[in-house]
Amino acid sequence: METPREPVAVDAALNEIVEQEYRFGFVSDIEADSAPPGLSEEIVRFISAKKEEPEWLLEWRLAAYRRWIRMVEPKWAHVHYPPIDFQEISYYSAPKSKEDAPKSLDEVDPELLETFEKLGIPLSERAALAGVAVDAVFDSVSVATTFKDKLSDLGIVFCSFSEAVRNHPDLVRKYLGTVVPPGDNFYSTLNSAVFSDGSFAYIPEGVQCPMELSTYFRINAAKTGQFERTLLVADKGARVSYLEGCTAPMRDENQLHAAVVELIALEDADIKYSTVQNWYPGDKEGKGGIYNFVTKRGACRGARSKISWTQVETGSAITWKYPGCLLIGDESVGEFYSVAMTNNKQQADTGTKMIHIGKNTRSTILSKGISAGEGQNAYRGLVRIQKGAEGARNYSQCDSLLLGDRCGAHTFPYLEVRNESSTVEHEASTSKIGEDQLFYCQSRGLSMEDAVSMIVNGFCKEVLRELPMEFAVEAQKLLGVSLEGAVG
Amino acid sequence: MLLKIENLNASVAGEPILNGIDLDVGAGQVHAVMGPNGSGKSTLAHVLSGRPGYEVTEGAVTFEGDDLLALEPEERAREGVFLGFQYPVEIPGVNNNYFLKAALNAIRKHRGEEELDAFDFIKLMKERAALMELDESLLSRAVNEGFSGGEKKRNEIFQMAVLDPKLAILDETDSGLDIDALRVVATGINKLRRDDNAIILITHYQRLLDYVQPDFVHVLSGGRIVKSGDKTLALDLEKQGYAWLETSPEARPVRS
Amino acid sequence: MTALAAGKKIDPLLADLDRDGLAGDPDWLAKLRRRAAASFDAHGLPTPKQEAWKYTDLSAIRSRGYRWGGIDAGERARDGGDSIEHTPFVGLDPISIVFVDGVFAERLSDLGVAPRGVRIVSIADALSRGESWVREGLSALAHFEDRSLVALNTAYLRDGAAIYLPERAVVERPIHVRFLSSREAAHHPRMLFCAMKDAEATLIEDYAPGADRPAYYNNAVSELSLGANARLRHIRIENEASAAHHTATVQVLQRAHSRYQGFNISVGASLARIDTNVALNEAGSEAELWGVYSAFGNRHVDNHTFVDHTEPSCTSRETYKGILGERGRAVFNGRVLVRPDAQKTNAVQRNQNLLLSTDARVDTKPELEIYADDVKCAHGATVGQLDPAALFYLRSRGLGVAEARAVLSRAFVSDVLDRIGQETIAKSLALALMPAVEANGKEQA
Repeated sequence: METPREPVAVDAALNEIVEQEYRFGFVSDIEADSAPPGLSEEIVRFISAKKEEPEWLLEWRLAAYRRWIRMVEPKWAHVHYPPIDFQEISYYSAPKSKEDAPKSLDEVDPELLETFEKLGIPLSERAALAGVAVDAVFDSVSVATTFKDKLSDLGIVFCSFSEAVRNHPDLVRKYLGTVVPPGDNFYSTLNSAVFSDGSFAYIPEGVQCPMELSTYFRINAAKTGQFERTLLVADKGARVSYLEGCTAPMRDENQLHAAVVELIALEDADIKYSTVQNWYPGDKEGKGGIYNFVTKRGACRGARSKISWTQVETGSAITWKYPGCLLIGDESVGEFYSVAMTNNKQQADTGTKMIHIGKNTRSTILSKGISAGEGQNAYRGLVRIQKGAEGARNYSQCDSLLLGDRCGAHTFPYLEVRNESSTVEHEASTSKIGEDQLFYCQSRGLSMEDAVSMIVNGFCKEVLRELPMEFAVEAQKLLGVSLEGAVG
Repeated sequence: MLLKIENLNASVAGEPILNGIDLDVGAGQVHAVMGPNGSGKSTLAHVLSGRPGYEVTEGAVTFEGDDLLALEPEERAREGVFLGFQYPVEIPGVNNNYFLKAALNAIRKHRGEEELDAFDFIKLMKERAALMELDESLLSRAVNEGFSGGEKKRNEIFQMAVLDPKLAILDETDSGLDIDALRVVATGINKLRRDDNAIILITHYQRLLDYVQPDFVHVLSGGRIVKSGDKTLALDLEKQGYAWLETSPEARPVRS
Repeated sequence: MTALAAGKKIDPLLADLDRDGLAGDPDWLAKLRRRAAASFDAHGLPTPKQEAWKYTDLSAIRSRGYRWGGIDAGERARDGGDSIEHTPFVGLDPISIVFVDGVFAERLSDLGVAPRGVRIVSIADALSRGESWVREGLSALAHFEDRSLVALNTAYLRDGAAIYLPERAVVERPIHVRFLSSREAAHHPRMLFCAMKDAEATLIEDYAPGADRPAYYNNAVSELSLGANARLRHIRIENEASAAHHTATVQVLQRAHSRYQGFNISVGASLARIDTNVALNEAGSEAELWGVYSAFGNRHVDNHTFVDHTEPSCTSRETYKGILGERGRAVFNGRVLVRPDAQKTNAVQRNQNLLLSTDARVDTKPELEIYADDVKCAHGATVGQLDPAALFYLRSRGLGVAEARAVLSRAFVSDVLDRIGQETIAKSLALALMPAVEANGKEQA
C-alpha cells in the first residue's frame, strides 16, 4: 500500500529514539598513570611489571606478543573502517592512587566513586544494588570489587584479574588461555600480550552463587585501548549468573576495545553470562566511537554443563564479537540470545559459534537485529557438529527488523554437519517494521514514537526476558523503550 | 451532531473509491452501513480513522464540530474515535495488558484525566473482560498473536470497552464469526451502547443486525450512499440481495 | 598463443591453447580468448583460501593433469559422435543438439523444424556464419575478470550450443542440449541462450559420459538472457561419469516480468561445483531455483547460488535439497542480495539436507544481504535424518532397511523432481540419485 505520509512520520519517530543523547559521554578528571603510545616487548614487560606479575605470566604475554606481530588483521567481517595504527594506542592507563592498590572502598579516589555513582553503579556496599556484586574496571585497572568478603565465605572467589594472579595463581594458571588460546585470532592474541585487568571468578563445587556477579567497564583516558580479560570458572555442580556493562566518554577519535572472556563449566555447572554493551557509538556522522573487537568463548567441559550467553549490543561504532560455546561434555547445552541495534553509521558483525563435540549436546541461537539510520547489522554464526557428536541438536533463529531505507541487515550462518544423527535447523527472516502494526497502535491512541518502541521492544522480547531483571530494565531503556511488563 | 460527513471523496493509490458520501451521526445512534464487496465500506472506516494511504480528495468530516481529517490517527483515537479492525493486527512480543494500558493512559492524559495505576487498570481490565466473556489469559498474551478469528474480534470489542470511545466504527466485526461468537460480540456491543456515544456498524450481512438493532441503515454502492432507511431496509436487503443495485446504477444518494 | 607466451608463466591448463591456434577465429573472439587466457593465467584455479571455495578443493583436477580434449585446428570436420551411444530420455521427443567432447555431433542431433526465426545451432556454426547475436551474447553475462573458471572456459571458447528465440516465439518441444564426454581430457562446454520479449521455451542442459565412463573434466559456462516477459524452464542435469570432475557457471539475466524456473540436478561427477547466478535486473521479474543433489561414495558436490535483486518488485524462491550417504559430502552456499533500490523484494531460500551415514558431511551457508527496507526475505537450512517412525513403518510392511531408506530419501526430494514437469526425466533422475538397492523381492516405489 502506498503510504505518502507515514515514512516521514516513522523517520521522525525513529530519529527521536535514535537521537537520544549518549548519557554516559562525560569525561572524569582523574590523574592517570599511562604508558606512552606504542607497542613493543618493552611495553609488555612494563605492563607485567606494573602488575608485579610472576615470570610465567610475563613469558605467556611475550609469547603472545611474538605471535601477534606476525599476524594480520582479519578482513572477513562485514564492517569497514580505516586501518588502525597500533603504535598510536596507549596500552596502559591507570588512575593514580597515593598508595598502591586501595585496601578498601574508603581508600578509593572519591572522584572515581563519583564516576561510577554517575553511571548508576554505586560502589559503597550500603548503596549497592541489592544482590549484585560489582567489580568496577576503570581504564586498565579494577578499582573496586564489592561484596568480596560475603562471597568468600562461600568459597567463591570474585576479584580483579590482577588480584587473582597474586592470590590464586594456581587457578589462573590452570585455566588461563585454555578456552581462547593465545594465538586464537588477531585481537585475542593482542589481548593476551597486553591485557591489563578484568574480572576473575571461581565458584567452587556444588555452590550456587547467591548474587549476580557483575563487572562494569569504563574507558576514560583518551587514546587508550582497553584490553580486559575475564576468566570465570564454575566447578562441578556450581551455578552463577554474571553481568557485564560498559560505557565510555564521547571522544572524536576511535578507541579500541579488545577484550577476551573465557568461561569454563565443569560437570553439571551452569553459567549465565549477560552483557549490555553501551560503549560510545560515535556521533551521527560516524565520528568517534569504540571499536569493540571482542573474543568471548565458553567451554562446557563437563557432562550436562550449560553456558548461556545473552547480549544486548547497542553501543560501539563497530562491534565484532561471536560469543561461542565449545560443547565438549555429553549432554551439555549452549545458548546464545542476542539483540543488536545499529543506528546512524554504526556497524555490527556479531553472532556465535556453537561447536558440538560431545554426544547429545544441544544449542539454541536466537538473534534479533535492528537496523536504523545508516546502520549495518550482520549476523554471522557457526554451528559445527563434529563427527562424534551423536544426537546433537541445534536450532537457530535470526530475525532482522529494518527501520528506514538506508540501513542494511545481513545474515551469514555457517552450518557444518559431520554427524548423521544430528539435527540442525536455521531460520531467518528480514522485514520492515509493519505499517499495519504501526497504524493499529496509533488507532488506539499511541503516538508514532511509542508505537515504534513498543513494536521494537516486542520484537526483542524473547531475548530481553533472558536478562536478569536489573539489566532488562537498562536494556529496554537503551532500546528507546519505556518499561514493559509493569502490569500483567 | 457527533459526526458529520459532507461530500466525502477519497481515493487509494490514485483510484477514487468514495465518491461523495454524506452522513450525519448523532449521539446515542447506531448506524449500519451495508453494501456489496468493493462498495467502499472499509475505505470509509479507514478514512475516518486516518489510515495512511487513503487520500481525501474532496469534502469534509467534522467530529464534535472539529475537523477530523486534520488529525493524526492517534489524535483521532484520543478524541474518542475507535476503529474495530476487520483484520486485527498481530504484534508479537507486546502483551495485551501493556498495550491497552499504554493506549488508555495516552487517551486519559489527552482528556486531562489522571493516568491509571497498575491496580486500577487491572481492576478495569477484569471487569471489562468479564463483560465481554473474554478469557483473562488472553490478556497476558501478545496482542492478537495466535488468537483465533473469534478471539481477535472479541478482543477488538474488549478494547472498545476499555477505551470507551465516543464513536466506534466496527468494520465487519461480524465476518468470520460462528453464531455463538457472533452472539457474544453483539451482546458486548449492546452493553456498550449508551445515550452519549454512537456506533457505525459496517457489515455485509443482516445477521449482526438481528442482535444489534440499528437506528439507521445505509446502503453503499460505488462509493456513495444510494439508499437510507430504518432497520427494515436491512431486512429488504437480506431478501433481495445487492443485485438490484447493479440494475439501477442511477440510484441517487439520499440523505439520512 | 604468442601474447601469452610473452608472459612469465603459463598455467598447464592453458598449455593446449596453442594446438587450437586462434588463427581461425574472428578478430573479436581471438581478442576475447586472449584476455580470458591472460586472466586465468594470472589467477589460476580457485583455492580453499578463497571464501567462496572454503569447502571445495580443486587440486584433484590439477593433479590429474588433464589435457584439453578439443580437436586441433584443421581437424574441424571430424564428427566426434561416431563411436558414441546416445540414449535420449524416453518419450521426451525433444529438439536435440548433441556435443561430443565439446564438438557438435550432427549425427546424434535432431534439430527438427523450429518455429520461424528460432535458431538452435552450434556456436562454431553460428560463428562461421557471422551471426551477430552470438557475438553480442558471448561473454556478455559471464564475466571472467573475477572468476577464473569462466576465464578458463572462455580461453577455450570455440563450440557449444547457441539458442535464439525471437520476440513472441514459443517453442513447444523441449530443447535438449547434451554434452557427452568420451575421452580422458578437459572440455569447456559453452551454452548461449537468448530469449527475446514474450518468448517461451523449456531447455534441458545435460552432461553425461560416453559409453566407456572415463575420467574427464568438464568446465561449463552457460549464459541465459530472458527478455521482457520471457519464460524459461531450465532443467540442468549433471550426471557425469563417477570418475569425472565437473565445474560450471550458469549466468542468468532477467528483464522486466520475465520468469525463470531453474532446476539444477547434480548426481554424477566425483567432484561437482555449480555456480548459479541470477540477476533480477528489471522490475517484476521472478526466479525460481530448484535444486536436488546427492553424494554417495566419495563424491563431493558444491552448489553456490547467487540471486541478485537490483530492481524493485522482484520475487525469488529457492529450494535446494540434498541426500548424502557413505562418505558423500555436500556444500551449499546460497546468497541473496537485495540492493538499495530493490524495494518490495520478496525472497525465500531453503536448503534441506538428509544425512544417511556417519561419514557423510554437509556444510551449508545460506546468506541474506539486504540494503533495502521494504522487503520480505527469509531463509532456512536444515540438516537431519530420516524419520525413524516412517522407516519402521516401511520395514513393518516388509521393505528391507536399505530399500526403505531409499524410498524415503527419494520421497524427500520428490516434490522438487515432480515440479520438473517431465516425468521421464524425473524418473531417471530419481534412480540416479542413489546407488542401486537390492529390492528385497519387492517392486521399488
